[in-house]
Amino acid sequence: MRRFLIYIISLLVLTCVLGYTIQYMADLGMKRFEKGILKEWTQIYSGAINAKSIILGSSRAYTGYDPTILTDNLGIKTYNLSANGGGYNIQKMKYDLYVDTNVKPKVVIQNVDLSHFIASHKVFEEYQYISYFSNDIIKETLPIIDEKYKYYTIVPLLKYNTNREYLKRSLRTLLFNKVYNEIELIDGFCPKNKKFRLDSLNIERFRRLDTSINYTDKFESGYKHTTDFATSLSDQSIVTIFVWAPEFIKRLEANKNLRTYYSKKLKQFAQSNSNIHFLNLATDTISYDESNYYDSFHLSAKGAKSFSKKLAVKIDSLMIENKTLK
Amino acid sequence: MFFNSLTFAAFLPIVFILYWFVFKRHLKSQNLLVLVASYVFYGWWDYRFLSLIILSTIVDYFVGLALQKQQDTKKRKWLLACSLVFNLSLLGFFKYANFFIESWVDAWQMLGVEMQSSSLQIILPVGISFYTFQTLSYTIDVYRKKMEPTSSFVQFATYVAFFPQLVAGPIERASHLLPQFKIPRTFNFETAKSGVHLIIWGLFQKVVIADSCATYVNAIFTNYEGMNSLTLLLGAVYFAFQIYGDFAGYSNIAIGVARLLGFDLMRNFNYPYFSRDIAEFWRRWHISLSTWFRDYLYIPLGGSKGSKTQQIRNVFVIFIVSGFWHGANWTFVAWGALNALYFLPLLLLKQNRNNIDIVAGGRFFPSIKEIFQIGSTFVLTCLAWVFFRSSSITDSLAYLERLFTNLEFKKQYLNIERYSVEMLLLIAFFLGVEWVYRQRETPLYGKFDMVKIVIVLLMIIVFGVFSEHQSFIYFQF
Repeated sequence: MRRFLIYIISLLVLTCVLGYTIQYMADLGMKRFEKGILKEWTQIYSGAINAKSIILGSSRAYTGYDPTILTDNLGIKTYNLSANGGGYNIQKMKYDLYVDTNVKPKVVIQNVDLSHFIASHKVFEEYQYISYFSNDIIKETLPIIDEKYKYYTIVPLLKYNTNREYLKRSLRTLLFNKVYNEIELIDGFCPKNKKFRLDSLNIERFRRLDTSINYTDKFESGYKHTTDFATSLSDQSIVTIFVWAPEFIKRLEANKNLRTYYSKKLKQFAQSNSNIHFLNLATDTISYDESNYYDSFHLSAKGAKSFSKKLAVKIDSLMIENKTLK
Repeated sequence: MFFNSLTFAAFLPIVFILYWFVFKRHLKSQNLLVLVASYVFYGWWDYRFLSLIILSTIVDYFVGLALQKQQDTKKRKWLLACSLVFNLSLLGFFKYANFFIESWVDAWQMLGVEMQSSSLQIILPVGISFYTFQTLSYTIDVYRKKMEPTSSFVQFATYVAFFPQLVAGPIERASHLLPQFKIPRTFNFETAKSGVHLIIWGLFQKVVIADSCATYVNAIFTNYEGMNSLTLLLGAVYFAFQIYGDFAGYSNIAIGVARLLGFDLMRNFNYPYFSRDIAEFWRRWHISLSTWFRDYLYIPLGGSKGSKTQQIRNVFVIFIVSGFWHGANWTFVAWGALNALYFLPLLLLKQNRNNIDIVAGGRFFPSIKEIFQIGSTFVLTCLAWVFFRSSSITDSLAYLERLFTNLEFKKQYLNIERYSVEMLLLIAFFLGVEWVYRQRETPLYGKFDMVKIVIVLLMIIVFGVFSEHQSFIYFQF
């Protein structure tokens, strides 16, 4: 029996040694990506960003807020820290990771919309987090979203099970210095030059929510998290600017009740705290031209440019009104 | 409780420790522990159906004892009939009641008589086909005086409910398994080690091969009307590996777990896809069921003796019953009948025992003739699997018609990560390992086995399907 127990333990130890070695090499390779979101992560993690102003949000901010325009117009370094496909919980995690290694920002430009008030129940593009699973912030946040992440820190190589393509890529990057053609980001911003396609199903989903009896139920907890987050930033003397970016006209029609309700609430909330502001650009003229969008919710590269310019002007006026911002 | 679940990963070490460390010196306690563990294992799925196993155990235990005491042939026949009627009624009700009701209604409707079809809401108890056949083998063997009945209820109950093979076999014979509960088990390092190898290889077969194939099989068979010939061909091939990986994987884990506890279970699969004809395939596929039908149905019917008509009848009976055993659907009957058609020419031409040796024995590579034989047997098997997998005969025929008439061989929308290269490479690796170890029962055993096992373990972690928990196919049979 003793021989058998030694055999089992040896088997487990050897599996762990070999597994963790491959995993370590893959993680290292991931951190050496020279393009795309992984490169951005390397910069965030190494504390190389240190922007005075950062943009938070989901895919809407990821594709709609051009930080270079804001940097140029406002004269303060701005970085787009938004999370593609990420609800408020993922955005918060990304912010916490950022401030863990970078200088705290002075201003947080927080994109808001109805989807922002819904927590992520799935981690979109999870490959970007897997080489950082030893980080406490990631270790604490992701298992709340999906239990499987609990095992990612224990079982070697398991985190590459659903990201096998990145296992191959990272090992090739590490061993052969291979550079993959990842989507290039501009200070975290990902412009999309896609043709407009109406996402009718999504619009219909929001139309149904908008006319349902308890229509705010789905969003209340997210709204509370958002305002609590802004309050906590305010306590650290960080200014939050909530921005409701333009939505395509058909979307505006579909979510009129809910949008009006939450924009009013946000306005009132912003009025109660001098460190919190709200810019409602949801119904801006950008909304009426489909060439500004690639679907009813996301701005195209053209739309992002127009919007970012308008936003820069608005924020600049805010800065003039509130000298504390500069 | 599934073998590929975390619950089982916790359950097995607990049973192992209690079995070898706490109850080591006391045979009765060890058996009782296995019995309790088996009931927990089964009850984890649905404790209500434990009553069926217990009932079946009680009936056959007493029938066995009564058969021993009774010398009168007529009364012995009556006793055997009691066991047969009870067990087959149980199986008939839970597994086939809806099928017969629906077929009855369909038959009348074909004659133009409208009938209201109302199915009973019956849940199929997991593994009912396996444990009823196992208990039946006991009473039949006692009736035939091939073995003495056991007087120990615990031993008999443990034999019926032995958790490693309770829900999906191998279907053990009482003459093989029951005596093992009577003698003290001693721990043997090599046996336990081979058990671990079988468990790991079985897991690889299940979570890497079967479950990965399942993703594509489900997509292809559900939408076969929009698929081209290449995709339909891959669908049939993937299903061949899904069902093999699933079932052989379960059997290997079962045999491996039993070995950890010092038990020896019969081999259920012997590399069937290297068979050179259908007769050989059936000697290598689901061996415990094939031999069960051979011993308790085929031979009593006359087997391959008697007139040509009798031989043909016997072959059709055994294959159709075997098909029907798999499930209450005409597709399984068609699958059985098709296999009978494949087998019949071999039997009638007395060619059915041509290939009883190991393929490419003494050589690493097979000959051209062997490659052709293995390939053609595999093609025939895949065609039959289409019936097995389809939800109706109409669907199977339409699938095959489209496969042979569409004749388009472009890659279709399933062109995702595993479709084109990775999945096929995994299958190639799997077949490669099986080919190398085709002369042994336990793959990966031998030189550098620790390294080989570690590589397979890491492959399970990286390539296994864990996101959507896939049950074992044979649980439904």
